[in-house]
Amino acid sequence: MDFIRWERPIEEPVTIAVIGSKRLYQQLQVVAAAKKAKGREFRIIEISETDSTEGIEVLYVGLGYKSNWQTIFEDARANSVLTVGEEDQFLEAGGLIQFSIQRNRLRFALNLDEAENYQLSLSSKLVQLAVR
Amino acid sequence: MSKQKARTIIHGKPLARLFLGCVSTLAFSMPENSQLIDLSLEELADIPIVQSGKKKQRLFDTPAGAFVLGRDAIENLPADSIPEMLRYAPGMHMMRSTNGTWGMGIRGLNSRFLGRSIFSVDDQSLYGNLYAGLYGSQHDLFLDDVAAVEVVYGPGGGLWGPNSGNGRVNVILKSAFETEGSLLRAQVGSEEKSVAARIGWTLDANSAMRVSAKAANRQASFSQRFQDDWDTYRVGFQYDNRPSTSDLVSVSGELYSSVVGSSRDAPDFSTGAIAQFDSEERHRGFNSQVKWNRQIDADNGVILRAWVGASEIRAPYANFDLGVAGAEARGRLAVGRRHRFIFTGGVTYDDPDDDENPFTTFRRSARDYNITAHAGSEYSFSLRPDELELSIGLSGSYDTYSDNIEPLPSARIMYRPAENSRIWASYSRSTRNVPPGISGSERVVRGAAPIEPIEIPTPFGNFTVAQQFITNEAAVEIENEDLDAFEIGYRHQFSDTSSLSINVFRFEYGNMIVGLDDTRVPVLDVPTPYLLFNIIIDNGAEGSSEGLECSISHEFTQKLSATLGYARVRNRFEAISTSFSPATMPALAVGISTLNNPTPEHLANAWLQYELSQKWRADLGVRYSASFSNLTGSQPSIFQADMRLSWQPNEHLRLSLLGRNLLDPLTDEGLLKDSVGYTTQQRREASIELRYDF
Repeated sequence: MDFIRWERPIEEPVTIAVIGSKRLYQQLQVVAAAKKAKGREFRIIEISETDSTEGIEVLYVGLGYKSNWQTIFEDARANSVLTVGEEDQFLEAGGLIQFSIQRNRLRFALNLDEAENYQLSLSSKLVQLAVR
Repeated sequence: MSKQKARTIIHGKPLARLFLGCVSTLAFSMPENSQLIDLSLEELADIPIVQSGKKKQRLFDTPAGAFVLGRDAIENLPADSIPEMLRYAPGMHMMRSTNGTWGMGIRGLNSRFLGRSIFSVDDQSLYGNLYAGLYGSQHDLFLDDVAAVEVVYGPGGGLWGPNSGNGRVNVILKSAFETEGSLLRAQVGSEEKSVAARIGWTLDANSAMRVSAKAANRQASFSQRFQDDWDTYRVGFQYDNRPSTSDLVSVSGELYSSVVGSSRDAPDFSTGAIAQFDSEERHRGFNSQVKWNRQIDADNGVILRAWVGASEIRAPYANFDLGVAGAEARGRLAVGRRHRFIFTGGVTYDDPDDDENPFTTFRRSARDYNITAHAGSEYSFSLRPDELELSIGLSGSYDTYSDNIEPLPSARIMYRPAENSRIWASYSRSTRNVPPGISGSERVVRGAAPIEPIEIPTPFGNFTVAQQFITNEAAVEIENEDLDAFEIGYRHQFSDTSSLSINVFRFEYGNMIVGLDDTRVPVLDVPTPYLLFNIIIDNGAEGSSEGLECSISHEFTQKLSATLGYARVRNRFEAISTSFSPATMPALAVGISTLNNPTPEHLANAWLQYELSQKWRADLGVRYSASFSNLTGSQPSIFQADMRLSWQPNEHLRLSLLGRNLLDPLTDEGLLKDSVGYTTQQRREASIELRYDF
């Protein structure tokens, strides 16, 4: 089942970039290595908040980059990059997916209004599971 | 690659990977990556974020011996208390001398008082350092609030804190986020009745709270001398708040009461008569703690906590009104991929006001409070990334009694020959400071004992003396005990469900506190003459111990699994004084003897888990401790079995039939070192336990 569709062509390996979370970067590398052993390949990279998002499919923005959000989101929209974060107001500022914790469970919210600007479409299944 | 295919490669699993990344950032303790990696989005969304207890992987990577009784063990072991559970941790020597009176021994030393290992709940010791013993109020917890019972062996590079030279047991309670809903647990049996309940609720998206209460009555004992029924009550709360995804603030508190029957000899010094003194040991008080856990990621975080508590203790050995307070900080910091730092520091304040007691008096000159401070740090350097890591630590502790700062160095190395194997080695220096319940004692009536009749000539004729009364007092200045610990360990994870762990150690002890012979005076001007034997508590022994702990867990099939444990330890202690002679120094001879043999040389246990069907499950526990003897008596070997048969018709209800001490009608563990008064034997028992959450 598909959750995300890009309107631009995407080639494997899919690139997941991380800004501002060494831990997440390391965890994703572990996951990617495990996945590679099963025949699927992902490229995990670390970038800074000023780097271009060209060639990236998914971008995680860590905590403490609020002042850079607008720049990051503009670049991500231009390159059709799915932006993911967990800081408050992430969606309101223009991010696409924001994780949060509710009742001791991980939940996520979607910014459906912005998806079109990113040239992405989110599956109905994802919308169903989202808290908003 | 076709365009259509290229557009659809981001589907459920890759996004789950992304979830996983965020979960790792957010979570305090999540399941391992390997367990998460193939979960669906729905399954991931159902995993609790806050799960108390250390990550399995972190323990696997720790250069120290450790064993964890996790949720599965807490729910299913054929035990209904934490001390009974600890019998199934390798190398743990638990002795129950009477109802509610336990000794906890790790690596060869076990005693009622002056324990060389620490028992704590959420890092907090209810009684501070008063007697360094284990009290019923500490461990008689509501088991459904317990997330894990963690056993660490040895001083752990000094990072477990002061006085945990031989090891530490830390009970980790669940956060309030994990206890939402209502729960009732009741147990009725041949020797025990208990009822416990909990209500937990979320206050808002970021905070939760629970209130728990428990009442229990235990008999379980056999004695022809006295009844030692044990009644306990406790009520507590915990509030947790997550102001951000990296922070968890907890506030907890509880009130408790424990009353257990006891009996001891009461020698009458004015007549020479010996009476049996039946009484109760009563504890009541409160404890509270505030903790802030800021966990940025696995290598960076800080825990700050502060606590305050008070206990009223009325016991046949002493009466105290005890106040405890303290604060502690623990932090971790990673610099790049190769450098990691750990910092600890804390101050504890024990204020034991002694009250009048017929058996114990304290020196008025003794300091009426005790402050213990500790600070330490450890630097870890990755010699070969992800393969070889060296840690150098230095900690120090200070206490007002010794008025001394002890530098405690440590060095540890961790080698990862393969992803699933670890080899570690460690050296740590540690100290055991003198508990304030011992250090200020002026006169403690230990008891009375018959002796071979002796004739004492006097101008008024010969007197026959056939008994002695024993008292002790603390030396004015007792030095802290010290320990040099050398350890090597090996761990191997055969699969997700199969593992092996072996720890080997050599401990070298100095300045061990024992009883030294003082005066032996005949008291003849009483109706029944006696010898008055006074013993001085002081540093008087040194020695070493060597041994190992081994545990194996294996899942034979999806329905059958087993955990096996084995431990061996041998002590060799001798008197510091070169003029020691057992014939002329009987007190020191007893002291050396009980240091050499306070625990069995061999301990073994097995826990077999079998899922009979979807609703039925059987858990069988078998345990063995070898016999041992010293100059105070002989402890027979124990081979016992416990069993739990559980029926769970739905996810809310479980009924268990619990049997303990099944192989013998009576089990005697009376040779607990420094046990005060008469002991009782444990009966074979059966009970029905109901657990219902709604």
